[in-house]
Amino acid sequence: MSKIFQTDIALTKHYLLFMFIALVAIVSFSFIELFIIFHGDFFTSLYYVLTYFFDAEGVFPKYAVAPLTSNFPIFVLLLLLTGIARITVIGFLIAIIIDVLSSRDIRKILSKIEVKHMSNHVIICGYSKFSDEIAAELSRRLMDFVIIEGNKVAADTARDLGYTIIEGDFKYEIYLKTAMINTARYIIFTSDDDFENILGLISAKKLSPKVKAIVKANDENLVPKMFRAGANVCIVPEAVAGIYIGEEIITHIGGN
Amino acid sequence: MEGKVMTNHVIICGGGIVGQKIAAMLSEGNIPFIIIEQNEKTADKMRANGYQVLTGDATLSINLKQASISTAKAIAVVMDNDAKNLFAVLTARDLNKKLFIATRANDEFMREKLIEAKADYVIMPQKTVSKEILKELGIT
Repeated sequence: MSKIFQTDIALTKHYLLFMFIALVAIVSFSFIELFIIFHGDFFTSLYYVLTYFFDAEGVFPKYAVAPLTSNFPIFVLLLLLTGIARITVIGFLIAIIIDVLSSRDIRKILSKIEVKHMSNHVIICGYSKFSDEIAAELSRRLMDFVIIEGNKVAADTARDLGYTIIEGDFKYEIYLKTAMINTARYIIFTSDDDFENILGLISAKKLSPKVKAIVKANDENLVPKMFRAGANVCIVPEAVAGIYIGEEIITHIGGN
Repeated sequence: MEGKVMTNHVIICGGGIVGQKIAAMLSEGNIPFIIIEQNEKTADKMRANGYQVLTGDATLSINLKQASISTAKAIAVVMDNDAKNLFAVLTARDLNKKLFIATRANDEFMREKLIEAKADYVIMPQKTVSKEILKELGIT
């Protein structure tokens, strides 16, 4: 069990204990007050306290009709039970509705439905700071794209940003199929692991030879292998940075 | 080559992929340059390519002075450690106020720090690649 989860449980226990003590204190105080007002009439005081606190309609003492003394204990018990039942049922239903509406599962299902209707879209394999730049730009331009990410935390982060996510390992064909690789226009491999990118690339090209594959390579020596595996474009971040800096220096010092 | 006075040259701090790319471009353009690389093996590999290499830490002023920083035109600080790059930029600027300093950063925070340290050009490789990919997608 994670430390954060244990802390949450401890906090909830303290919160419930506090709520219980507060409830007992308020009920007891009200009962004593009414007991004094009704000159020591125990049942009448109990009736008003219970109707006030547990009857959802909240009957205030001065407007309430006094119960018949003969069936009073049963009446009080029924009031108590129906009041608690109503509060419990309504609270439970509200909790379920909120839980369902905020559930990531619903969003996962919605993602799959959304992807089914995509065509000529972009598939981004792997969600990181790097691919976030691409996702943000595509989102800004209202272009259809889906991200395949196996790490739950990263997937949730992307989902919270409103991106369409397929949670899974992009090396496996099933997730590429779910991302509708057969109708996709581009697939971008952004993992920091070159071998993962190559494996994903081979799976993707097998499923859809016409998809244009852009691969981020960290090791320049692997670029020829990536092209052999079907990559259309390979980009080595460090090499690109080197070219940019080289060009900038040459321009500045006035070289050729 | 160590100790030889150079003028109007470029100093490349770091012999990784970025440094190698810059070296290849400068070599192609017949622009004189010297590389400062701490790792012996990498330094030897670059020497084998015919480049002038000074083995040492580019954050130390003694090594930058040995690379004739006072008479250099530009410096590319491209080590794979942001903190080291920042330190080297600060040292380089102290030693030559007119020097054109180009460097790399891995995140936005570091980019701002390098600009504050008076770097003239700061590139973020990951961001640059994102732009390249977007270009491929037809987004400019």
